[in-house]
Amino acid sequence: MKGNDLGMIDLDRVCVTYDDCQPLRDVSHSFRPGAVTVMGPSGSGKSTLLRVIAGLQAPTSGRVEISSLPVAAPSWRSAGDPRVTLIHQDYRLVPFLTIGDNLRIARETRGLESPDGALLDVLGRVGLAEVDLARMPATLSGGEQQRVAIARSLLAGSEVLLADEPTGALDAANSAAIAQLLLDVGRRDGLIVVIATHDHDVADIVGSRLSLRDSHLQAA
Amino acid sequence: MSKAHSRGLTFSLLRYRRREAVVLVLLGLLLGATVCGLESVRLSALSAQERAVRADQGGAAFTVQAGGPQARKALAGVPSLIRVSDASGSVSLEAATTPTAVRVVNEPGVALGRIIDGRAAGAGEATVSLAVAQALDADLGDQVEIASEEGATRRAELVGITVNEVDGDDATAVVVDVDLGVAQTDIWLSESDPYLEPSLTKLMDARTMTYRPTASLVEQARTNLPPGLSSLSYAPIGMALLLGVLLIGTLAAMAPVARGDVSTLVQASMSPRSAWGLIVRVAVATLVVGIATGFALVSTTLWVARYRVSEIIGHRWEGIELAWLALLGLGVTVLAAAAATMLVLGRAAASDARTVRSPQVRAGGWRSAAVVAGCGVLVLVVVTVQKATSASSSIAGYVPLAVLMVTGATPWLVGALVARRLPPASRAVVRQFTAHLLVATALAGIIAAGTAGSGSRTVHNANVAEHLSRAPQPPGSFLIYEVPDRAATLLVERYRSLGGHDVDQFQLPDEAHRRLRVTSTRLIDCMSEAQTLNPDTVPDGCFSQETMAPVNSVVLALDGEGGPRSDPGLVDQGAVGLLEYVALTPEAASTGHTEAQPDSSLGGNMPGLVVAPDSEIARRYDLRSGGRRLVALLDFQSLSRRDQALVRGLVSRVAPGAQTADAADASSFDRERARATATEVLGAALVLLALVAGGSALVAGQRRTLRTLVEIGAVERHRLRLLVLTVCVPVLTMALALPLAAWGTWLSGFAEPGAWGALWTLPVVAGLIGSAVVGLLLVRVPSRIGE
Repeated sequence: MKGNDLGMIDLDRVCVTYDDCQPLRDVSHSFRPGAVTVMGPSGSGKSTLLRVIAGLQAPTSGRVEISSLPVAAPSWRSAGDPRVTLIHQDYRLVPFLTIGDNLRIARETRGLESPDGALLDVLGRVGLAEVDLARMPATLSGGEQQRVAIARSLLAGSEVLLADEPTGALDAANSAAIAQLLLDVGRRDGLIVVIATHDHDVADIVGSRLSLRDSHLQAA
Repeated sequence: MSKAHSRGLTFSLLRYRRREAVVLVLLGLLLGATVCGLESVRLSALSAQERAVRADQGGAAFTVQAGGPQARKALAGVPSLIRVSDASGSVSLEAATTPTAVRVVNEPGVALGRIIDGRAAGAGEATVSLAVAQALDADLGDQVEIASEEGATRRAELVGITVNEVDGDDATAVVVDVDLGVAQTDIWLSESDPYLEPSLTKLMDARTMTYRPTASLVEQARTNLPPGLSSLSYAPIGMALLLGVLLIGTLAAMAPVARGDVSTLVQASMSPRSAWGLIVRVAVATLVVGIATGFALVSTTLWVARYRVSEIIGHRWEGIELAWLALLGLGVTVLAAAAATMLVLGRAAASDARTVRSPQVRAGGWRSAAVVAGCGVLVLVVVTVQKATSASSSIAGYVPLAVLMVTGATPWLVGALVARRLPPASRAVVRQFTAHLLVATALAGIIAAGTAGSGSRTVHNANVAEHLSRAPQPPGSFLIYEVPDRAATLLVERYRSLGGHDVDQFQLPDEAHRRLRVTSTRLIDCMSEAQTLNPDTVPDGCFSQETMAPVNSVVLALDGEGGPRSDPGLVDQGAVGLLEYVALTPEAASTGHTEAQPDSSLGGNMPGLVVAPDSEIARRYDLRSGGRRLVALLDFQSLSRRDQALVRGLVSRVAPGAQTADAADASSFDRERARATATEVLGAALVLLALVAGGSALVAGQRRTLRTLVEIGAVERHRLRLLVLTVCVPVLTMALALPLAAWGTWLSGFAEPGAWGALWTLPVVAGLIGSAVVGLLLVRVPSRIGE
């Protein structure tokens, strides 16, 4: 482990063991700013890896650090490291909040202001410049909802964006657009973007790829 | 889906979720065992009381007591009546002797007591109670010698062993003597209504003889329960509610697992409705199996250990009552809850299938709530002002309703206020969360304020009424009128054996021909001045105001010594007045005076005048004992509640026609207080249930949002702030319910909080605990969602 590196995720001999399997075994890796895909078949441990990085699940052994600081340990009343945001294939927008409020909540729960101008700027960056902030999420297409979820992560100001099968519910065109967007976010905003997917097209767009095979993380 | 396939799926699910299934079976077992067990104990005790009373009367439908020779003569002329004599005595077998109550019956085959071995006695035969048989080491077939206090000795073959199911230490011997004389008879047993016998009707109207249906003795016995048993009445339903809360909490904790299974089943092409149906069916089946097992286990245990269990309350049950209705109630409740759950889940599934859109909740409803609360507060304020100015209030009756209106409206007002100063998105989240809690909180608040108010008022009423309605007799005494002479001796012996010391006995005169009453000389003077023999026609001021009984009974002293002594409230210058009646009319036949010494122990429910049997007054008015006594157990309250119950039970056996006045019996007020306690405990359980159910529904319904708040990287204190503001709705509602309930109770005229009992705050405390549970459910990070 290199240590003392800002803007990096460091995994040091991370193991996760369940009763009947071990999805992660002695995983050591450093993620740098930019986008990277983690490939692997279903059940290979991709989601587990993301949860461990996000602080939603404690590893059985090993250490996880972001910018040289340990990831917050999960407990019954707190989970997740505030430096990390997650997006999923089902978007996870709050269904009873407007698009604007779905974006604002990410900042309000960090004690930050959220002027409408900033929201519209970010929406413009993810390709939704024309969307009305007062619309409800259910009126958007799947691709649009995933863009709102990415915009929410950008507004949150987190260092790390973890995407768990972000294109799993999208058609090929939308998948490609979302993959490109995540790549841009990694490049332009200096975020560490880790994308767990089994979609080779997404991996091809992002370029940098890792493979989770036999519980080990290795370059593909 | 075929039946075989469905069954296979059910068993597969059970195998896969065996841990959850075991938890549900255990919970069902606990529910069935506790609720059915408590109810079974209660029913068994009541049933034992009833069987014991019926067995004491030999299964007869009526009992009759004579009040003098004329009544005895009339009863002797009715051959269908069975004669019974009760006295104290002893039973001997070889060198061993033990004191017993001796019951002599003239009819062979009449079982006085429940026979557990052998048969009822025939001529020249006897039965003894288990305690006597054990003391003598007697077996069936032994020749025992039964002696009564009067010196009569009978040898009899022991043919049966009996028990008194409500007195495990009962020592009684029953012997058959077909020649039992009328003079020795204390009670007569009848299968038919003796009042319909023409030769007895008049004597009963004149109360020269008394009769009583056994059914009324059974009713009386139901109120003469050992300590703990009366408060057990509400225990089964209370336990059902508390365990119901536990069950709902457990099911709420299992909901994510169930949702995961449904998701899997849906992915395997099952409809959400069918998937939920399968899960609910499996859950209900495991619960029902648990409940039935608990019922079977507790019933078997109670049957096997019935002697040990009943011994705790001094009983000895020969059988137990199974709590079939409680079992049925539990089963129906579980099935109804499952049906309701399926209905809700079915609608939710259908709704999910239609749209994922969920409209944003506006802060609506608070204006209507403000109007309702305002009306309630207005009523409370107006009545408070009227009370402060001592003005009569025509709207005071609306105070409880006003309290409920304010409490019920509070959640909407709190909900609107707590989110006001939040930024827009956070405000929308808190409003959405609180919207899920409004109805449950309003319901819980109304129940809490309602049951707290009702409980405090009931306890206050009982305490005040108890204070005001003390019986006009020596404190803590138990008076028994019309006890046959021999039975009185037996009763007093038993009383003393239980630790009672202070006993007064008086002979009741035979009043077949005349009745003598004592009063003040002033009333006699008034009647003389008004030239009337009817005391009801003179002004009220003529009656003594210094006694609770201005016209009272005259009795004969037992020991035959001393001059007349009277209620001090009737004595004027060493004399009292006398009223002699010879007919059942309000007019006296004559009036008179006699000298008497004041005796502060007399008056009220105690006699007004006591004279010696050989005194001049007794001779002048031909006062002769009718063979019945007034027995005053003056230190009755010093006995334990169990021993008090035993004495009352003995009275219903040896003097079933007797009237009693019990200054130690707080049972009616205790029942009122027990009812208030039950209301408060029930209220607490329902409040807890409503809040936990509401909180569980909120967490289940908003699980995705709660998880999303974590995944967007919310800072912990900001996330907790939203959740704490949500919990403010039930917390503040409950905090307000307490002073509102107290205010309402005070305004309703129950002004002494010290007399409200200790438990009136319980529903509100349960509400605060329920709010804390809701808070914990909200703060807890939900498990993963479909990742």
